[in-house]
Amino acid sequence: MNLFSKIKMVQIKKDKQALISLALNLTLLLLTLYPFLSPKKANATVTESFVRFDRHATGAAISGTACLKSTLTTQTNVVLVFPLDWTISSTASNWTVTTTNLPTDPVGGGAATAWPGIGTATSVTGVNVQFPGTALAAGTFYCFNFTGASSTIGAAGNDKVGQLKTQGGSPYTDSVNWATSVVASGADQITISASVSATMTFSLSGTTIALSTLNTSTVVSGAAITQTVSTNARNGWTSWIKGTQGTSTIGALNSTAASADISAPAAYPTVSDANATPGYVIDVNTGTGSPTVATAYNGTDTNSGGASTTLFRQTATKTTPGAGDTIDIVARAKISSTQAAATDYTDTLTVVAAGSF
Amino acid sequence: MRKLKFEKINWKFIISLNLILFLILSQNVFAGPQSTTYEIKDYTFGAGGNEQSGSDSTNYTLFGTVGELDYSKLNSSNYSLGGGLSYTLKANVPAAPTVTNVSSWYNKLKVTIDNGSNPSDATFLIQVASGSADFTQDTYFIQSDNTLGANQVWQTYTSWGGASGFTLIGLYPGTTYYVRVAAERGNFTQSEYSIGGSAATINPTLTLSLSTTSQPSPPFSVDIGNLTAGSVTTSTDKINITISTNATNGGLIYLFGTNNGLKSTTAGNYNISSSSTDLTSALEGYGARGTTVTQTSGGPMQLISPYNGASQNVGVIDTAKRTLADSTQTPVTNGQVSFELKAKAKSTTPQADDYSDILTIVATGSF
Repeated sequence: MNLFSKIKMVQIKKDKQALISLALNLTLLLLTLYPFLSPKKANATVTESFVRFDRHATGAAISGTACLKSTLTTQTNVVLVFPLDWTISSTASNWTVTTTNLPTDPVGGGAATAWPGIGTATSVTGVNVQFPGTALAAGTFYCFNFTGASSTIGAAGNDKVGQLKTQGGSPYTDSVNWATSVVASGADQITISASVSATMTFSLSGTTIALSTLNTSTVVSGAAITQTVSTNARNGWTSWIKGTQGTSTIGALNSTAASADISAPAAYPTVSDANATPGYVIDVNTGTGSPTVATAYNGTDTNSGGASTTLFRQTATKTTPGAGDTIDIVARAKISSTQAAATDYTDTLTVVAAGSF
Repeated sequence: MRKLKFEKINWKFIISLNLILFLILSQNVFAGPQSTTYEIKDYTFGAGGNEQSGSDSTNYTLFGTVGELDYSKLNSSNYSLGGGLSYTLKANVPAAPTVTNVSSWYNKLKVTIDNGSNPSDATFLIQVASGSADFTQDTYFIQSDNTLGANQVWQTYTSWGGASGFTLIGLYPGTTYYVRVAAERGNFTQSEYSIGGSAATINPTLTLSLSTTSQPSPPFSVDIGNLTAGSVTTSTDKINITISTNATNGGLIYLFGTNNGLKSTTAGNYNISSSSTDLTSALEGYGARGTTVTQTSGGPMQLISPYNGASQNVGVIDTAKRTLADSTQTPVTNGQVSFELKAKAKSTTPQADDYSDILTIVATGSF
């Protein structure tokens, strides 16, 4: 049946008919394409997406992480559209990317996959920065980190909107709108502070050293006195020793009864061998925590040591805080054949330590 | 040569064909066939319709002529007054659909259509316009997957969600969408469109604010205090983060530090390292522990492990952005998270009064 049997067309020239036909065809084409040209139909294929900035403060440098999970796979370039009032470098090479330390998927918690093909931006138009990319797999959570040199976050305010788009479709395969909040300078940071007070403990394992009866053939050593130091002084600690007898360079065991001294074989700071040259020496040995023994008291064997003096002389040191650091202090003596006999040879040693805070 | 070809072409046939295609593809064509000079106001399809090819459903069958449709009828923007057999066969015009933005949605709207007392096998077409209330621009049809598209999709009232409606997705933020519905019970029975309903999507939102127990505004600082060797010290002040977002997958709050611990410059950059640990048994350490979460609506907010530990269990604060809390993949209003800081020194932790770290809080919506 001819549906247009009743149509009475006006006779027109054939050229005009051709124009009419062309116009109608163009109209048909426009009608066909119109829904795709309209901007008000967003893409519903993105299941997850966010743009997380490293800072929220106005004036801060722009850097962050963009992530996307889509059901589509035809993506090519990635376009980040920043809020209009932000300062965006128009130099594409200023926009660099990395794919390390990516966030986990907020939905499911899986690790993010590095965005394939992502690289330094290829173009910048206004606040639109375009990065290269390649096809994504459907349902995979992709991310990349971006940094924009010479680009800063705009004025403070909530609901600053932008877009994350992927190209490959017409005009975009995926297009997601996001929002972020810009806060006042410093309003996204908290300065944390704490303090640690100075500590120091010091102890000696004993307060007497009995050398017993000295003789002319061997060096007699008393029982070691252990000095223990604990401190949180950031530069460690130092200990010193001094005697009460003798001089500021040569100490001695003094006998009141005999009015005589058993002096050090050599003046401070020389380490001497009491077996070779009879006399009274102080030897220091390192213990727990490995403090460093002062050279002047670092005897090389069980016969040697340094001179006690009437001034404080350094025995050991450590350059870091210590917990239970120890040294052993040993008194040694040997007499000559002419040493006056007496039972009251004595010296009083004073040991101190200090932390270097 | 070219001219000769033009002469052989049946221009009446081509124009007729174009008119047919125009009628098929046009979405709102109420005018009759026309040329540049004439328009056919009154025409008929003749004795169309029968049991095989006519208008029928499981309940009705049309035998007879469908036609005599007079588009110069009395009408308003919503209703038409017509006459003739065809109007008795047409489906009832549904009432205006209910279109609502349920919860600050930026990319979807809830649509509930009215079935207009049509039979259960009646089907409905839903047209959406974003450009204008009169459906003259930016028009689409709702597809079976609840997105917008160009194809006319007819579904039953039940398929469109019945009285509960459905969620129209894939919309643009900050846009008003107008929705109207037509019904039919078979070919040639399409009703007029209903009155339009409308609602607007809003823009994506994200707000973030920080405060501490004693500081409502920046700059913010929290002093954990003096650390005693062997004891866990907890900051007196807590840090409060408030987030609101309409992101479909909710909001997330991250934290990160600058020193991977509490660092002292005067102590030779000594660092009380941070790790996720129970400080009770650790010799030394530093970290954060979430204390409370609240929200006005949405969410709920939740602390994420390891920041949800009890007692002296803390989560690491290092230079990596760690998820402190989220809104359980749901939009949230005034979701607040509070956390405290804990630190412990050992006996050899160098004395210093400048141990510090700078925490940065970032938030994002998963749109």
